[in-house]
Amino acid sequence: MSSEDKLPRVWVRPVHPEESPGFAERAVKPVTRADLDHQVQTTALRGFGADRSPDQPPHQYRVVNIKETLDLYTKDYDFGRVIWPFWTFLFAENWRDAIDEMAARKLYLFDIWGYCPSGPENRFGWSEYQIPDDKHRYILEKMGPLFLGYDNGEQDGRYIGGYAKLVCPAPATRRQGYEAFRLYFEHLGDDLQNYLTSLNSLTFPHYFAQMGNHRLLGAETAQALPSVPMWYAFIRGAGKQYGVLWFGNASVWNRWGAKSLADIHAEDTSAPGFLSGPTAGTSMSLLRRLWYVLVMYGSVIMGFEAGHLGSATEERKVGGVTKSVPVLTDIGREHLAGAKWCADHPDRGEQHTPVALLWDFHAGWAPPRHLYTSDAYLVWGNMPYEKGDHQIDLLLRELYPSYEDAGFYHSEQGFLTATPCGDSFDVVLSDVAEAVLNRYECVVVLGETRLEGELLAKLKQYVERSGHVVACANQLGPGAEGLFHVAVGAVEEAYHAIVEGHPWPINESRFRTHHLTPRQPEEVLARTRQGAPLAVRSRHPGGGSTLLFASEFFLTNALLAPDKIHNDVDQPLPSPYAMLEHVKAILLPYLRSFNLVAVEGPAIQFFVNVTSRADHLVVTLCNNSPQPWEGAIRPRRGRIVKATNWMTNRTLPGGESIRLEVPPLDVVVIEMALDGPAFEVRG
Amino acid sequence: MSPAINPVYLTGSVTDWPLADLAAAGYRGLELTPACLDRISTWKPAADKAAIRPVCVNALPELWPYLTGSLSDAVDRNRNATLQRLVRTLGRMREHGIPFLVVAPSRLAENYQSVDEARPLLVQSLRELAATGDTTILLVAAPFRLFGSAGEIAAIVDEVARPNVAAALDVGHAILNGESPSAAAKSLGARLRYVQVHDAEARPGVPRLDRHLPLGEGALTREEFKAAAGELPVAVGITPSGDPIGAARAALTWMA
Repeated sequence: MSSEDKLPRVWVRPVHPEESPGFAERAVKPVTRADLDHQVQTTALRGFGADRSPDQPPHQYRVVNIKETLDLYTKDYDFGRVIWPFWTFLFAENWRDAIDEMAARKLYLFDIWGYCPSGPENRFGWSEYQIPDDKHRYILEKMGPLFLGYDNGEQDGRYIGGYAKLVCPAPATRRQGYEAFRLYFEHLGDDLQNYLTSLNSLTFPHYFAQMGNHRLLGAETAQALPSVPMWYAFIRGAGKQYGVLWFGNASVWNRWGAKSLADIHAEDTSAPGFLSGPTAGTSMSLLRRLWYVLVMYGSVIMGFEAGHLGSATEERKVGGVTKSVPVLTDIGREHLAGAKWCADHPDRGEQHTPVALLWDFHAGWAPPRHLYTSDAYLVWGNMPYEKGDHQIDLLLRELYPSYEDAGFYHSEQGFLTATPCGDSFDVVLSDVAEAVLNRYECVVVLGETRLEGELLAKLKQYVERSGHVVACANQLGPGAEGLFHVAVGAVEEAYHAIVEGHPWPINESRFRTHHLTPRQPEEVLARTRQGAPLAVRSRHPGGGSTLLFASEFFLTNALLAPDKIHNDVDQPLPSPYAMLEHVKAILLPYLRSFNLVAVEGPAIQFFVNVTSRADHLVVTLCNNSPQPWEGAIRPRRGRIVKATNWMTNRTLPGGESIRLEVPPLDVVVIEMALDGPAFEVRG
Repeated sequence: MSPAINPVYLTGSVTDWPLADLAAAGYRGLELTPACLDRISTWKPAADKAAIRPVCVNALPELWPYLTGSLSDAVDRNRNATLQRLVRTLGRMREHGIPFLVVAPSRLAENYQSVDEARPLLVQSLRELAATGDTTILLVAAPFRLFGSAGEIAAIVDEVARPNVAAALDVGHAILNGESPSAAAKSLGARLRYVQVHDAEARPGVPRLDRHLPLGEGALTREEFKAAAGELPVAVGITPSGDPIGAARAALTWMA
């Protein structure tokens, strides 16, 4: 397994879309790092004004103050080069002026937003508009790669919440579930020139990336949307799998309202039908943490959704001229500080995500609860979870405790979580290319995934090339037993487990388990009192290994009837199953062992970024608790000769480990130089 | 009773159906979907041989709002495209003497549409479909959509006021909409010409999904079904997860 005496082989190379197979043939090219000048770009401006309301007949209007608006957001305040406008400017009489001006200034035109199925175009609001060919051609001619795409904005959630259940009859197979999903996005793609950026609101980025018409992947984080560490495991995985870069964005909205800092002294109000004001919406501390976490995740564009400028004005000298401009809000200040931090720390490296969580392409898995439906436990929005889907959920609950609460708690719990095994996982789907699998040191097969055919062949190759694979006996298809060096027999029931090194049996709720017969004297990590193996580890000649659990999806039998499950705000969501205790005892430390650092202290969110300098590690610690975090980080190999806190630029004492405090609800990034390599570079 | 069966729902295929087995089991009619009419040569000879004839086209797969179509879409081009497709379907139905086309209301547009705006669009669409010939257009309630009760369907049929526009009753949909199938049939009265049958879950804590469960796997009782169907033509519209023939046979046994 990940042996302590051998350097781990760590993939350090970021995604470069142009190196992905098929890039040259793609009609719609993913954005490259060169397109973005090899740096994080930032965004703030969300729209242009008009001289009259576009929805008033005869729907003739002009965009106004183009230069002044661009000046305000890119010069008076340097919020960055990415312009993220509402769609209506594109249908103004002088729309070309706006395009020309952005092109002349070498600004990026990003994620033109406001598309909503079934809204008439002449309402010029949340409308189902179509981009004419000539308009699209003009934008491409003028802006070239600076045009980053039209917004596929929160549409995965919209589909799940508003359309999936109208598919009649509901899908009987996952493939049918996928086909219905695809129909929705074919319509959307056709309306928007199949030139898209996805601003996800659920866990479907793989499907968008696979469609071949997306230039970037990203998400609307915070709001009432999913847990970010879990979610970006999907987005990163999709980006790596299909060769598409990803971006970050943090919303000022939550389930109950929106933060508005226009007048910092104003009272919150519920007048518009939702709470709005300085203390409504996403908290400042969450917005701040999201910025740094998403940037360290490798986001190539970052921004806050809105609220950078106040309603008051101040005199400000810009380019030698004194102007009256709106005052900065805390959001605006955090944006500018965050952008400067990115510029000051350009060598952030690649997030180390050694473990791939892999499941079937057609799974359509979504978190057990989310904003778009009051129903719990559905895949594709219209099919009930099967036991394998609960397995995914329950493992994610171990990796990202309370992830399923994101968007449901006033306290914001779940949006960012502690990561007891490290924030070091990506999700890939079964159509993943072998070359992409090689990025990972370990693959955990989850869900209703059958290990057979092409997937089995890929994993056999992967293990031969020193990869490690984890699966459950019930997932093995024909020919898979050989990979795990076992024969799989009949199903039995058990209610205890004896784990190697533990003196007494662990009590378990009853669970179904396959009888395993190791073909060689393999390492049995857990067994029943009668000697039936429950977990078998096999080492392979190339340095790879397999770990097979005998239990069905490593879960208990069902423990809770559906009518006992309630999905309510500010309340936990019970699962009908539980992850088996002996599996937790074996699997979780194993997954933790792939991290390059050990974090000592209370549970905290942490991850490591790496570069080709194997004696350098960059550790992000995000304290999502209202209490200060005190603990230590210790490289698994090597001694720290120098460490720097990138938030303060202060040097920290070296040694075996660094003790430090992370303030409540805050984030710290530490660069560590070691006295020797922490890993061997691969990729 | 010799009911029809929807082989597309049963098998997930628009052409590859075990027609001989279905005929042997006792089915004499087919409820098709519009896509089947594009591939008629692939199944018609086998259907003729099995003496099993098309009795209805269920257009619901063409009426998944935004995905395929809608009769009250607030975006004109979407509604018009839906109507064009259904008019083509009606033409083919006439060629093959298929008497019934089942359609359903849509959902409300997410923005800029009230029920009072959606309803006239639906009525207008039904009239346009009715005007294309003498095929009977049957409006059926479907879950998660507008006009989900039998009473509302009846009122729309009355408002359309065309001799070839009537109602169908999907007993599974009625359960999902919280109606008793027999009460729904009663509300529809003489407007009701055709009954579709599948089961539906109604247990607390179980998500309401239009799964078209095999008969006996949900909340539908034989008594309710018999009271709703009476002597009307019946079509089985189940989507079993396993053996389709077994499920089709079991449906006949359940209904007997």
